[in-house]
Amino acid sequence: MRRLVLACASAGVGLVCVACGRGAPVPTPPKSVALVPAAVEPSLASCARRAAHALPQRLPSARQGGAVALARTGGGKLLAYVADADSRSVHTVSVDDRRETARTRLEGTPRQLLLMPDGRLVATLSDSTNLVVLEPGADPSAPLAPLCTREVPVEPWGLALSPDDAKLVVTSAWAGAVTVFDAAAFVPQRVLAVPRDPRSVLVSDDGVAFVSHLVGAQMSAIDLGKSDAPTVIDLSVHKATPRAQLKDEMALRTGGQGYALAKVALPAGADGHDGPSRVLAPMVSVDSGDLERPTAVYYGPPFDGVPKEAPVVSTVDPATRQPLSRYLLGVSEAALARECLLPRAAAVRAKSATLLVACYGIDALLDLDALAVDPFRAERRRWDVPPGPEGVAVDDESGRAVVFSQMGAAVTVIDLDHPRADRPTIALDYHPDPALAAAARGRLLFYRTDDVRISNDGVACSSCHIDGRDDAITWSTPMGPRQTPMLAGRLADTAPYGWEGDKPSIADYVGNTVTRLGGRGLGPQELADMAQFLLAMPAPPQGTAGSALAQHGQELFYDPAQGCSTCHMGGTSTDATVHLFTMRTGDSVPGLGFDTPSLRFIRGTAPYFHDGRYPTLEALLEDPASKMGHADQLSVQDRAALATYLRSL
Amino acid sequence: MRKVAAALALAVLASAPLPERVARAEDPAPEPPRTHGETGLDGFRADGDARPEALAAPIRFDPDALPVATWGEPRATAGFALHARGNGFRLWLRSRLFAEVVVENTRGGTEFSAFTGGSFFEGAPPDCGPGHTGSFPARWAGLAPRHWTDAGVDVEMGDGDFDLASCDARPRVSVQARAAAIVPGFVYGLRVRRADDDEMLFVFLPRGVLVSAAGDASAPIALSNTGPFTRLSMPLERGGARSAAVRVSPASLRLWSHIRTTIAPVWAQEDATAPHDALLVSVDAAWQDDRKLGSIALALPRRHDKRPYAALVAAAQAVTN
Repeated sequence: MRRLVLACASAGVGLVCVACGRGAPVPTPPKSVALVPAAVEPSLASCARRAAHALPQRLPSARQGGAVALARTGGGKLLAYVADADSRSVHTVSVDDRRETARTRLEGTPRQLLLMPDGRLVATLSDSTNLVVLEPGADPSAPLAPLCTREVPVEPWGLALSPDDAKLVVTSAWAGAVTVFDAAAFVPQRVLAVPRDPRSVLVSDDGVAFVSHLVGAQMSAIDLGKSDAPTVIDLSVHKATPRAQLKDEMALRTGGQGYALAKVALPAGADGHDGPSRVLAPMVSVDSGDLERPTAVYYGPPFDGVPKEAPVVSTVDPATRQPLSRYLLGVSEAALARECLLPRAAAVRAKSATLLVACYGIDALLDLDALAVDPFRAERRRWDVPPGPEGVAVDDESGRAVVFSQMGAAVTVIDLDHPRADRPTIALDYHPDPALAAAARGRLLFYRTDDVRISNDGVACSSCHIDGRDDAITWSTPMGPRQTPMLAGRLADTAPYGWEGDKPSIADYVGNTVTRLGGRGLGPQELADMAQFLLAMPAPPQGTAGSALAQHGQELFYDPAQGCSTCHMGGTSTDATVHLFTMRTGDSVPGLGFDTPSLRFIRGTAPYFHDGRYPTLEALLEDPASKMGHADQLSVQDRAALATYLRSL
Repeated sequence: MRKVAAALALAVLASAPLPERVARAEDPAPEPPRTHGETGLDGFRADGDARPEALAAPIRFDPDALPVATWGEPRATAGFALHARGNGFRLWLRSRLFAEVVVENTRGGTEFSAFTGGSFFEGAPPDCGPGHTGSFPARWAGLAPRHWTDAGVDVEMGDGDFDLASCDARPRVSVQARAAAIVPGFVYGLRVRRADDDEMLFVFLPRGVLVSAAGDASAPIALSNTGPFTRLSMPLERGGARSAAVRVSPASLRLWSHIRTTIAPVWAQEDATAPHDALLVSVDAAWQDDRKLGSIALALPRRHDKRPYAALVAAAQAVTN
């Protein structure tokens, strides 16, 4: 791979351009997922309960994981278990007493918690290949006791139980996989490959697991009672607004920020029968612009009644596995402020058909009509909460919502029936190193929407670089199409920065980006803070090149005959050099050079190339026009080995 | 890979969590950054309105409970005529309606629409009269002020052909029915079936100063955005939903009141309210399994004057209560 991006023949360019135009599908991962264990085996320890005392019980119908899990003690008090990724702890909070009662440190980063029917608590540890089962003590002020761990594909995240509590479903974000457990024995039954970046999961009344995806405007559906492959549900939408041109209305918008899922049932009909249910997927609909036409401004088209990034709740009918609507309606001639552009968690209060969405960026909890076709069009009220609302859970009975704010290290209790009542905030036990204060400030900036220093349309750094990764979107820019690069784990020692390699430092790169976004710009201290955070943000879990196939791929990668490591060299996998080459149609600057990008964590960053033309690594390697060394001349088996190795980086 | 996972598993098992307040000899590395208890960054927030906030609980309605009518033989006298007059035109509707007429110019690909009894029109009227031949598709839909009550209003709709020689539109099919109130006095609906059992939900409401409607991408659902009222046409299909977002201004409500109380012509009024400051009326109709569910939400940008909408909000609250 002497040069990552080289000339492409004009005859082939047109085809390529068509193939990776707006809304290009995010590829389905290959059947063989390197980071999925070949066979998932239970650890030696039993997950069965060890203590005899009664445990706090989960709330009725609470079968979906989240950063907050609620339980009720035998005495009727409401407890909140909080998954704190920063301190790698589970906090136990007495909601009624408004205080934290215990903190349990884990050997991993907890993302979601789920209470089993008997009160045991399951936590996913995203920086590992484990979930851990914990047992609360008899005293709520005692820490949780670990019972066992279970191995799952890398970066476990979402949790859900089937309606009969017989199956436990676990998503693995970086691996792009879903594991189905026998929930009674904690024995894995199936591991399925799904599109990239699965996050939340819930199981419908008829036993279908629905999985949200961080990128690609899609949802997966897995019938737990069958052995069928997952179904991918397309959540892309058209926009409808009087000011849009027909061509733009015809285009499909992709989407992202698919962290959350929730479920609501329609009220019983006149015949008394239960109403059908809906799966609600808060996300952000994205118009990345016309990739065939360089735009006047950076990153997408201007506002025409619907902004380039707009919140939407995709409402899916579990029976048909299709969204009820494929439209995003413009509701204003003027761009709205305080939009929920980073939805992070959701919960439904059945009693009032309320969909609660916790939003990063604006640091608010939104109360939406869960029965609206797009609940964002039917906002009832909102509450400000401390920064970084990561999780929300609802106690239907008492009408309280419990919100965990990751960056604010606090839990907020909101009385849904008395919206103007006091909102007690409970500070969590946490003592960060003061030396990390700069990165903490940088993180606040990174996730901040509606900041005029950063953009002129409300988007945040994390709108495209979701949690420092990428949005799988190729954006239209004055320089031509540009794919969002992944940042987390790729910035240390990889200067220069930017696709064109024209920014010598991270601060320069950030400063340039916010200017392109129409922001007024950040000051030197803010840029330094942001750079600190970008260097400190957690990288995806590192894979290994353990398999024979990957080892063969590694040999090919370093074989001078292939030329891959000529440019993608060293531990950073880049020669930090700009290479000149001819552009493809749509690029406006002939002869522009591109910095060799790092290949670290490349498995989770499809589509590939600066213009996102290749949906998979295989497509990139087999295309002679990519000029990736001589990979196109390798046998199919060798290319597969090379791709397997690349996925381990 | 499995070895790594197994090692991690053992590590967890070997290190039972301790209460954090108990000091440990082997304290872990400093925790990652966050701002303990901070309330976020101050300043530099963009100006502008947030999403409109609900003025009342959402109004649920069952589309199947609305009256149903069927397209059928037209009244012999129904239809309309259109004649040039100076630089303008005159429109005669042969029904006592406030109605929108539409003539599709299938040659030029444009559309002419106008409301009877007022100053609302869009597009150029078709050239017609002696010497012209052929016809264009035409349709009209309107409300009859007579017998208009809070509970219902008579509506008439027709589809036909506009004859270019006579400048006259004759219906092929039409429907006359009474729409029932969804929000008494303000929003009315009915279902209309064709012979093939296709069913369309029609919703009549005050003039939308901004209307976004979700339909097929190549043919957004029919809507009226030019006259003294708005008609939403929402074809319902099992497993799908139709939606519209309509901004209704105080002037819209005045027009609505005017056409209900008089048969005198109505004229476009100066609207002091920008569309994005007006009331957002969000209309949904969905069909899942055997259940249909309609929903109407009323919302207003924060800090805007609610008083002009008080009657509409009161009517909505009366329904939800």
